Amino acid sequence: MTITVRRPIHHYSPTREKRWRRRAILALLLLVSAVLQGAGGRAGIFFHFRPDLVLIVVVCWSLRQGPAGGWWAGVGGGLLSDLFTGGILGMRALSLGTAGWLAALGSRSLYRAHLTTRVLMVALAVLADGAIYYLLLCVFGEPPGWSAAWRDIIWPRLWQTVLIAPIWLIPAERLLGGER
Amino acid sequence: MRRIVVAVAVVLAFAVLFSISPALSSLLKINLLQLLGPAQELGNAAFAPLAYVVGSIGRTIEAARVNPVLEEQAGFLAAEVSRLKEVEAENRQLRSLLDLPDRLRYRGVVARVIGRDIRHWNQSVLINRGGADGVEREAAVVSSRGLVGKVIEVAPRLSRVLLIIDPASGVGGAIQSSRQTGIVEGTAAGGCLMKYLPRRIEISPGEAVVTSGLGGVYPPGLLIGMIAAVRPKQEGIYQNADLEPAVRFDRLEWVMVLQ
Repeated sequence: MTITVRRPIHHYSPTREKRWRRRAILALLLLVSAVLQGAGGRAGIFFHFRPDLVLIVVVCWSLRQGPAGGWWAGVGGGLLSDLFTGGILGMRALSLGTAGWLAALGSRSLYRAHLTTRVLMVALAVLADGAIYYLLLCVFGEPPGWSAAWRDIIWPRLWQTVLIAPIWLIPAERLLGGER
Repeated sequence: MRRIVVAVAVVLAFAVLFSISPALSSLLKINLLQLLGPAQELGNAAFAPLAYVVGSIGRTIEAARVNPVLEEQAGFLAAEVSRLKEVEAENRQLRSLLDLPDRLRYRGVVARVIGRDIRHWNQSVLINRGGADGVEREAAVVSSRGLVGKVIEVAPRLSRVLLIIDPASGVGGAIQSSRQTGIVEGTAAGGCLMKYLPRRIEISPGEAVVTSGLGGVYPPGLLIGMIAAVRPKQEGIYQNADLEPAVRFDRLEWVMVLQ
């Protein structure tokens, strides 16, 4: 008697399913972050308070998934941000992608379990993102002077994002789960 | 090998993105964003109660601070209104004598602000009216207080308005009293700067600046703001002046897109 074992066409893999579920949560988190950042129509005093929630989510993902994961999350989050902003399509994607990649690269030798370290990586990512975006503006647009850009754009964005980072990092980390 | 292919594909994708024309890029962005419109509305609704509570506290504190000043101003303005009524009546009589038509009243589409720019680098807002409602690219946008900006991206039911405080914005302006023209540009700090004012003219803080009509985008006579401070220059033939925009962009809820 011969027994034929048929291989299932779609092999069920719990790891793969988990990975896709995390990616879906990441996409949802990025969308929620972008929408919340943009929900300023009736926000009154929040008009000038614009912490970069999308960047926080990207850094959170990149610390867990490594440089490649950080890059792709940054590009995705950046493209989404590009839709919500008046700039050139793709510029934010490139700057945030690079910031995500750098955040993962820079945190390799650090003790990432501590919240302060993660907030520090958020701060560094804001600086990297701002510097790269400024350079891209020099090529593709009309940038303000470097000192004005630092004083009026990058610095307010830095402290506002760092201020919100602990609040936004914790739920994002909970939702995105552990490291790969 | 796979990594090289991916890297080349990424470089090519960005090269394509950066080489497409700004008009096509804008069209692509605003139409994709329209698909996310319901999410944006939901975000606004979720954020509104918090914004209302915090905003109310801020407004109460500010109201207590500015109330005495406003009471003082109200007295002056009542006298000014009375004087202007006289001037208007005189103007009407003179116009009828000269057989001139009434000054053109603007027509437009009223829209609600549903979102702001999410980055510090740009200053724009999203409004809930688009091409299907008669909104066109480059149309001037005003609020009850003055000039807001111009439409830069249009989807059927959504548009993006570039505010006059955006560093990329440039408006032909004129000082109302002297009719001296210049260019009003946005600054990185979210304010306005009036450039190319001849050094020889005297400018005083508090003077009103209106659109000059030069350039064709903005109709003449729309209030842009007041001179806040003059930046005298030691060299060159021009001087600059800081402007306090007439519109409170942090409280912008309703606007009118001129047709």
